Amino acid sequence: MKLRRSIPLLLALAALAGRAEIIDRIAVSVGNRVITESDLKRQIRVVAFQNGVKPDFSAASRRAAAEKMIDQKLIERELESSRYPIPSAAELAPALDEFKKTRYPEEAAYQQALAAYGITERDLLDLLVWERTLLRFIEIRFESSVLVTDQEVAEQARQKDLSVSDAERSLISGRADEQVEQWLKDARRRTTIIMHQEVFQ
Amino acid sequence: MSSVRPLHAFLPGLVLLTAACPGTIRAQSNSYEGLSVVNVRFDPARQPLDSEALFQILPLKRGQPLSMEVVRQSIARLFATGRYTDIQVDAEPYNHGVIVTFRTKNSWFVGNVSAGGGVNDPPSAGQLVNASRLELGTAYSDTSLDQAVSSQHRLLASNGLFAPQIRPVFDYDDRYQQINIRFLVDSGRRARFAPPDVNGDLKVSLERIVAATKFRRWIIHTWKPVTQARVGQGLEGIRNLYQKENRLEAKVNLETVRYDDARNAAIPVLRIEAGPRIQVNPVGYKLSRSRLQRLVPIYEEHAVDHDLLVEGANNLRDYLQSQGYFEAQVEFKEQAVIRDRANLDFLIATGRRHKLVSITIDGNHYFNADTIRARLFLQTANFLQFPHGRFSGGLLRRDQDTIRNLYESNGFRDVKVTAATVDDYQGKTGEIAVAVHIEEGPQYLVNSVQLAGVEKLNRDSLMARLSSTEGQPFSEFNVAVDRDAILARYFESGFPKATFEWSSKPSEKDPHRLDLVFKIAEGQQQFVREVVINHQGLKTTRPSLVARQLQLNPGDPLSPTAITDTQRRLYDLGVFAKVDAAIQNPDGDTDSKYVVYNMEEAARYSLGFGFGAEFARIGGCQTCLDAPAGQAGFSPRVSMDLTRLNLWGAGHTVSLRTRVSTLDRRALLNYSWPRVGRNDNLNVSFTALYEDSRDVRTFNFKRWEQSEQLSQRLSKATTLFYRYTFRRVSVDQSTLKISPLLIPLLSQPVRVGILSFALIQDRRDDPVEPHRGLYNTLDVGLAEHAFGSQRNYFRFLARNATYHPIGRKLVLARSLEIGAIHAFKDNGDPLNAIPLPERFFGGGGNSQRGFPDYQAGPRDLTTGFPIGGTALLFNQTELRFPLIGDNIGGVLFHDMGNIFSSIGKVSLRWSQHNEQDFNYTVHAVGFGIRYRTPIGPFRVDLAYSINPPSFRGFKANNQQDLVNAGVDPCGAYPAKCVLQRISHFQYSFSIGQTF
Repeated sequence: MKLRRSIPLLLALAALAGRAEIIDRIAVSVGNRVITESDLKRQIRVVAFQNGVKPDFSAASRRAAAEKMIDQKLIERELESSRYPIPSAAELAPALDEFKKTRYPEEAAYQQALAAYGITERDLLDLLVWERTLLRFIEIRFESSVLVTDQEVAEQARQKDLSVSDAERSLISGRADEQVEQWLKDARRRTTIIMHQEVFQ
Repeated sequence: MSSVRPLHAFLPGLVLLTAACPGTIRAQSNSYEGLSVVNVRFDPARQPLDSEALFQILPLKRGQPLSMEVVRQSIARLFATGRYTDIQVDAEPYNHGVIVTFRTKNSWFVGNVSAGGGVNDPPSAGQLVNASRLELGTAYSDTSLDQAVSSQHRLLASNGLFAPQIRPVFDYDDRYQQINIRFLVDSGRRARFAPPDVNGDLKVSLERIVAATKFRRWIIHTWKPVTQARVGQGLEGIRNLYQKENRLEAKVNLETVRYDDARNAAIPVLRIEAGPRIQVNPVGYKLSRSRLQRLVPIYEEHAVDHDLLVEGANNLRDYLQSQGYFEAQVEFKEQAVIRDRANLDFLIATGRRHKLVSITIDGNHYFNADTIRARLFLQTANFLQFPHGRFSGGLLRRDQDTIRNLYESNGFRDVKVTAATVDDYQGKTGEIAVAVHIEEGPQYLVNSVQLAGVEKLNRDSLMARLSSTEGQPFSEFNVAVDRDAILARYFESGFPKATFEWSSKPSEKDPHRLDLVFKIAEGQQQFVREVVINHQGLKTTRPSLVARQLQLNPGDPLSPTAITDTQRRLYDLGVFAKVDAAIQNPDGDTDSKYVVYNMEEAARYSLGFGFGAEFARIGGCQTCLDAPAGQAGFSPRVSMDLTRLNLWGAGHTVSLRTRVSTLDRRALLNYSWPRVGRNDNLNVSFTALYEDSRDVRTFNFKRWEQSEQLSQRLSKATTLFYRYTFRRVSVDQSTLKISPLLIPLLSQPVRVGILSFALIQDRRDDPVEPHRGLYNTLDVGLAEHAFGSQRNYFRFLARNATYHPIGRKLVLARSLEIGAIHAFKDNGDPLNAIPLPERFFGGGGNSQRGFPDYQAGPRDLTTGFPIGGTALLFNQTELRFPLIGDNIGGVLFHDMGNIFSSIGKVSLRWSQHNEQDFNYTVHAVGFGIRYRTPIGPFRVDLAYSINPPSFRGFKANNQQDLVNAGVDPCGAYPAKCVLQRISHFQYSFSIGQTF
């Protein structure tokens, strides 16, 4: 009888324990930096918002987002240690305004869309800052050191049917991209990267 | 109620089980956003960081509204400490608020790594540990362990151990999150070489290739066991074979080693491309083949490529320039291969042979010419060392740069240095002169220095370290020195991320005076959390011995200097073969760090053997009386030393050193106790000595001695010694070559107890080959009945040596040594009161080179053999100079002095009064050659004694003849009393400078 009386108490305690839920955890560690599961989801939401598509939280999508964020962490580390200039949020304000004007002429619709995606304007601005930072990093670190000959530019212009300046630009950015790829590959090799599989199941 | 209790007992487990169930983050997790954080918990409760530090760094605070951004920051901050591998955050509603729990998994860091079990050397256990690349203090992971084991497998396979078993055993130290790993290795059977599988274009028979590998034993031709060294030597042997065939481009590669399990054999698979025979020809100048091989690196590198040929051409040009062909040009030309042969010609145009006879410098005001010359590489011709001088266009440019740098580093930023070369100088064909012209320009000075950003260190103490101070010359070199000094101070104080930037601008009043700003970003200061000693490496050493060497305490700034000082002190104990020091989790973002030390004890016993020989005037019959001044002799020597380190784990050492030669037999047992009473400067030693010697030709003596010594290091240069010595000396009566009347007195065994004090002051710049400084020694002793002595005397010996550089190349070295023994309570004859072996004997390569070894001073008036004295005065002066190249030097010396019968008889008198007078000063001059070796210069000295002593010696075959000759042998048989003289010419060989 006493046992029967105590069962509700036990169930209540168990239910209480069951109410504790995971609100965040490490998804990936990159050296001594982390990408949390909420970082990952926010990234998926913000990119989906920027692209105007529905967020995809599938395991494959999460894994793909994680790979991009690993690159971001590696580049951030390099930016900090080499003291590259980082664009400020104010610099990106015109780009944000342009985005809003193009996609959401009405402020209310814009706010509604942000809420629907579960993000804030700050999240969007952070993404824009990062995109600008990445471009600047590639320009300063890689494109500035790419050398192309007149002969190569002429050949590129002929093959791709481009003007000389576009051909030169295309050659330089292509080679810079190759260098970025190689640099990222080396950086990944030098860094301990651990993906916590439970987040990607 | 009683039946409920058992169920309640399961509650905590149930709660934990429920909480531990992983789930995905609920989409509505931000439903907690804004709720007040009622409590912040950690699971497990015991965390790697102190709770105070933990809550200090954690952005999430109790009582504040929950924000997912802050949760993310908290995870990132905790992870950045490096002390966690996983962090998960749970939330639980509670009373309109939320309880947040951080569930963490700790990191592990590498501690002691060792290897043992059945390790078949090679590779040794140490090599296996090194191969693991598990570095002390770094983060441990399963991946790093897999890599370690793979690497060990590769190392074992390269040594012919193809089927090893490696089993890592772990010992977890929760307190310091440290994991100690012991690899239990069963090496298995070592494979033997099998006939190699050789592919490619060989051009040499397979038999010759196999023979060149030396994989088979000599004569019996069985295959040797595989080791990495043998494989390397085998490849080198093949390359040498091809080189002998002039196939200098031969490529010999080991592609793999195939293992034949059935035969336990290793089959090296080689690919060889022999390439053509290449004949290297110097054209235009005759060079020996050996010199060509030394100068052209294609022989040494076993390869022919453009870079090596360019290097060879440069080496040849440098060589020719050193021979006076300053305009030499060397080019190389490779010719096409025709019928398996090719020629490689070095085309040499020597030009005229020159001699650099003059270097003039003008335009210099701030530095005098000598200061500038001292920095030049160009060298005017001088006899022997540089017969043609040293000159080339490259060297001239280098010297111009050197002068420019000298001026720039002293504030002359606009300095210009030009040089002109004059050929056939003053009309003399082949002689050249170099004129260096300097335009100094204005000197820039420091107007003011501002140190910005200094908050945690003392600004004044930093300023005191600067070279760039007001009024001093400004140069970027000085700023670089200042940067190093400032950052070094910060690093020592635990600021590993301190940075330095500087800027300058001309002063408003004077454009040649600059205002400097040194901007420092201090960064976070780090401290020692605890010093962790890994006791796995301490098998016999007492932990307290290690603890006494620590220069760091918890809470101290994390100073790399103190860490390495402790490491050095541990090495200095002499009991460790390896001492690793590391900061655990160096990249972790925490204020306090564990400093970890890991030691490997050295082998406790060491055994050493040595062989040597002495060649000097030490020969002659042992019992004959025919050669009192000595004959040329040769004495082989064998030594054996046995040392036991770290006695009782206390860092004490006991050693036995023995030496046997035809002149000397000695055994010395020493017990050494360093750092007595935890004082680094006090050492105690106890010594027992047995010696049976005939160093002095007059007698053989035996010495049994024991001594206790306390040494006290007062400073880096000065050490004091306090010593008590008790010895028994006896002279072998049958070997005494003195008047029979004195034999009963001087052959008696004597006990000597002496209390002594010594001081050594060493301020030489280089103890092996000093150029400047001084070296003083003082030894004072008292032998007295009270100390157990049968004889009473006071002994004093002092030496003062100084070294003075003269210009860039010469060194004037001088040494004065004086000594006296004063007997008291001597019952008559003060000289005979001093036992023969206790007297001063001198002469020879290290004291007075006008004498053979131990031949200076008073002699027995009957036999002419030296009998030593009680006073000593030696003065030596040397002029040391370079002779040929950089390794051979010369010495001109003058030695004067002698051993005197007593202090009152010391005299600087030049001439000997008669054949019974030995109390005068003997002078010798001479010349020596020094050849520089890693253990000190090899020394040959040839001396001419200007006024050597003459003496009479009774020519007798043995002591009995002397006894038979009566009380006065010379009076009875004057014909046998031959007048003799120490030879004018003396020689000596040794290692090390004379003083």
